[in-house]
Formats: sequence, C-alpha cells, structure tokens
Amino acid sequence: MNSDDPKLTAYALGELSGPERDAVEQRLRDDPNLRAEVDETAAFGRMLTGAFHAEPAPATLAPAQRAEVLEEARHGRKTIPFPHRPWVVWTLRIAAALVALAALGRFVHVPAARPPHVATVSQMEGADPEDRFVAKGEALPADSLLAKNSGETRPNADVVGGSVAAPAKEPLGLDQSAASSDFLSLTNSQTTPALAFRNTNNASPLDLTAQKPRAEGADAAGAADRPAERLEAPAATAGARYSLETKVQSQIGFAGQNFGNGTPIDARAAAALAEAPARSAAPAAPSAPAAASQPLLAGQVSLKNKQAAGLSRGGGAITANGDGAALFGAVLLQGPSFSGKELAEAVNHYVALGEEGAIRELTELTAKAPGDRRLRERVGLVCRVLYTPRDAQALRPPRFGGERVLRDGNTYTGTKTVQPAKELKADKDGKSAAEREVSKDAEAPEESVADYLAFCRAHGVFRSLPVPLPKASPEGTPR
Amino acid sequence: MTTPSTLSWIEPILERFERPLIQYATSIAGTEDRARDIVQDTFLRLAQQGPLEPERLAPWLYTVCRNRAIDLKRKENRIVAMNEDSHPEPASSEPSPAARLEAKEQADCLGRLLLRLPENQREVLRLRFQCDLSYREISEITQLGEGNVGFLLHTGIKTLRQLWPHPLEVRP
Repeated sequence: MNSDDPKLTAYALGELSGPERDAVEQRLRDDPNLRAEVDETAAFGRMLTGAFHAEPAPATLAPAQRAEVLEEARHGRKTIPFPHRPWVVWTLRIAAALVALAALGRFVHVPAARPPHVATVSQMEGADPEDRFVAKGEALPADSLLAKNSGETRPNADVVGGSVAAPAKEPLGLDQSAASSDFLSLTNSQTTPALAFRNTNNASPLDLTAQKPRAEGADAAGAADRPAERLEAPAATAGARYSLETKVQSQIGFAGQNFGNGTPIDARAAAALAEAPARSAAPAAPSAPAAASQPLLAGQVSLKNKQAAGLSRGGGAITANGDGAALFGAVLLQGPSFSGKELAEAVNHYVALGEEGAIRELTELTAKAPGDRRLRERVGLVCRVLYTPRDAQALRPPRFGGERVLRDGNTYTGTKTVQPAKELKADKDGKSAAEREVSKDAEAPEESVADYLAFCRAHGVFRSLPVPLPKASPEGTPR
Repeated sequence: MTTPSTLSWIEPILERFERPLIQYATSIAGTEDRARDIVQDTFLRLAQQGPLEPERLAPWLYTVCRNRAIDLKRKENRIVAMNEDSHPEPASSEPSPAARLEAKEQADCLGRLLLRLPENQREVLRLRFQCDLSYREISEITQLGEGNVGFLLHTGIKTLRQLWPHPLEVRP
C-alpha cells in the first residue's frame, strides 16, 4: 500500500469497514507518512464538504410544481406530464377519438389512398400468390387467416389491410432485406410517414393490387381439411386486420407509435371510413384492450420459435400469462436469430402480457443474464417498438454499456437506413461506422435495462395492439 | 393548504431532498429553471411509485434526477459550458464576516478548480461532499462500480489537493 492507494482515501472518508479497515489501520500504525497522508485527505474532505455546502442554497420548487407533486402523491395519476405540453393532451384525445372511430369501422372498406410505394405489406419471397395479402384497402375474410397446406398456421400478421397513408409521404417500416440478411431497421424519412413492412429485395414489385384476397370458399375448403387449425382462428383473429396508418401529423412525432393499432387516423382515412357504412356491418373487431388481453395465437408465433420454446404447433393458443408465454419470451430474445419477425413476435408477446407483465418479465429475464449483451440489445429493440413516444421526439436508444443498440437515425429522424454491410465497412481510418458511433457514445452514461424501461415508461406509451409479422427470408435474418 | 392531519407522505421527503436535488440537477442541466422541472418530474415519479424504503430513497431520487437531467441535456443537445461566470456565486452560512469571507473564498476557489476536473470526477465529488452519499449509493446512482467510484474520488481529491492554494487545517 502506498500513498496513492484509493483505499487510503476510502479510509479517510470513512468508507472502509471490517477487515479492510483493520488492515489499513495496521499499516498506518507502521507508517507515519501514510498516516499524515490520510489525515490530510480527511481534512481536505471536510473542507470540500464545507465548500460545497457554502454554495448558495438553491431555490425550491415553484408552488405550482410542489402542489402538483402533492396532488400526484394523494391521488396518483397514471401519466406524468414532462414537460407540460397541452397540445400533447389534445393530440392524444384526437387520436383516441379517431381510434374509436376506426374501431367501429374496422371492416369498412377503405379506398386505396396511398401512393403505390407506400404501405405495402408483403412476404413475397418463397410464397405463392395466395400467401400474399393485399394491403390496399381490401378487407380480408377471416378465413383467409387460416393455415395453408404447409400445416403451419398463417401468422395473422400477414393480414394487413385497410392501409391509409398520408399522400406523398414516405413509409416507415420494419425493413427486412434479403440482400443483407442481417438487415433490420426502422426507417422514417418524412414527418408524416405511413408505416410498412417491406421486403426490399423482392424481385417483383409489391403491387398488391394485383393480388386477390384468398377466396373465402377456397379457404373454407382448405380449413375444413384442417379442423384443428381452424380452431386457432377465433374471433380475435377475425378482427386482426391491421391497418397501417399515419401519425397525427407531426404532433406525436414518431409515426411508428400507431403502428398496428388498426386505426387509420388521418382525416382522409376517417372520411373513407365514413363513406363505407355498408361494410361496417361486418363483425366488430375487438377493442384495443380486448385484443391486448387475447392470448397469443399460435399463428402469431413462428414455427421455429415455437419449437425452440417447446410449444406444440397446432395446439391452439399460447396463453399470455402462462409459463409457456414466459418461456416463449425468453426463447425469442435469447434465440439464435433475431430478425424482424422475431422482433415482431416478441413485441406481440409483450403486448399481450400488458405493460406491467412485460416490464416484469423483461427485467427478470435480463437480471438472470447480466452479462448477455445481445439480450440487452434485443430488449432495447423490443422496447423501442413497444413504446411509442408521448411527444414529438422519438424515444432515445438505450445506453447499455455505452453502446447504442440502434442509431438514432434508424428509427425516426432522417432518410438514412442502416445497412450492416455498410455500417461495418471500415473507413480509411480503419473504423466502421458502427465503431465510430460506439466511440462517440463511449462517454454516454450506462444504464440498466430496468432504467431504460423506466425511461420508456415515462416518455412513451405502451402499445396496445400487436404489430404485423413480416415474413423472414428463408435463411433468416440473424443479428 | 396542507394541514398536519393531511400531511402527505411525500412532504417530508420534499423538504429534505428538494434543494439538494435542485442543486445537483443544476450541476448537470446548467440552469436552475431546468433543474426545477427535472426535480419536479423526479418527485412526480416518486409520487407515482409510492413510498420507498428509507435506505433506497436517496439513491432512487438521485438516480431518477440524474437520468432526467442527462436526458434533458441530451435532448436539447446542449452542452452546458460551465465557466467561472456561470458558476453560482458562493454564499455564506457562517455567522462571522471573517468566516463568511473564508467560506466564500473556498467555495469560489473550489468552483474554479472543479472545472479543471473531468466531468465524472466532478460528479462523484459532488455526490460525495455535497449530497453526502456513500460510495455504494454513488455507485448505484452513476451505475459505476464501487471501485471505480473510489478511484474517481481518490483521483479527484488528489488533483484538487495539488491545486488547492489555501492551507489546510489538518487534525488527526
């Protein structure tokens, strides 16, 4: 032990106890120089305390701020305004009203109102035409959700329809490029984008208008051959026709926040709904809370992950609160691959669990594997889809270990999408873009998963409805 | 107006932590106005969370406050360039003019010297000597290991001691 040992400082500040303290004291008895060093450090510490406390006493909270805190403690609000922005409240009220309106007209035919490049949903690769669902305003029959001959239940995320996009806006989507199989990004190039899952490597244009919804008769016939699978499409599935929608102009900010809530929420969509009263006679879709409380359907779970989770295929629903669900979440987040499909599955799993359950499970899961950086990254991704921002700014990425899971630009800001091949390409300095990003953020304060969840909870709104599932490329998109 | 019979559980906590938290948040966020918003938000979170165990309270409050302050700072993309002018004018809590003068000089000097330290050392010094938090609590708040906290404090104190121009009153 020498005079530059941090233990001496700790001792001088009264931080040591037990054997450590005894060892230092023994050493101090033998070395008067060390003793003098410790005494000086202790004296300096006292001086520092005095100097810090001599700083002017800061102001207290304003009376209104204090009153709000007391009110909160007395009654407990669900949301915390930070900062106080009345327009956020009004925007959310308007959005809620439009959500209710859209829920009423869920089966209403919505005329195609998007430009051709927007709001296309496809999983064309390796699928026959019948597997393709049309997003262009076509209501899909419930039967079309049933399984095909492959025996695997069609993910109901295939069913995406009633898309209404803000004209001339760019899509925001979970992109899954087969060109770079490890490509996964959320992009948003405009302020009021539509939202789409895209397969950017599809050789054929995603002209979904050319595709017909599967014939009800054919589906019924196919389903008749598979009675067990038919049972997997309960009423909840019938309403699982998700709309891709726009956000409420730029007020709410992150367009993805409304992703999958089934609600075209711009004026054009509302008008379209109003114009199609006849089709609103279709069976009512479940309300948002009801949908969230529905068990996960087997069809929402990829075969690979079901098998990995030890869940039987075709066995019906996986209950959200059962042991299987917890296992399923763990398998998804700790599995060998994590493509857009697994991400969407994980999001839907936690949507079904609800906010409290999701936070509990994610916290417990990451607590069991504190050194699992990949798990934390995946949890970060899930959080950013699970939570949509309350205000105009997108939720920041997590800061796990000073590294960002995704760059800011991935999700909301600009036109740039991140392609790993490009990201990892070293520049002339020998550093990849990803490395530069990490080094730039090296001094960012680290946070735990629990902290990031708390942040998301404070600044975001928990998704109430599941997101559509993209279909992974055949080889998967490992991350 | 709150009467004693309706005293909220949070009021004593407000009384105890309001000013230190504002002081701490100011050191991160730069201005007292922003610090007040941050601290209000911190207490709102506490109110929503409900009462905490006493030993968890201070670390929790400082952690939330710190995260909020850093978030806000990053959100506004604002690097608060502290300089001698922006450093708060030290005030006195000493009764006599001589003591007041000495305290003012020391606080003034400390404010200047702190600016020469890295931000992480400044922060742990403030948490230790201004907020009277232990190594463990600082570790919890900053998400640094206790050993790292000890090292940062040791290094910060050592640097300040080398720079400190005033004689120290050393008593064993």
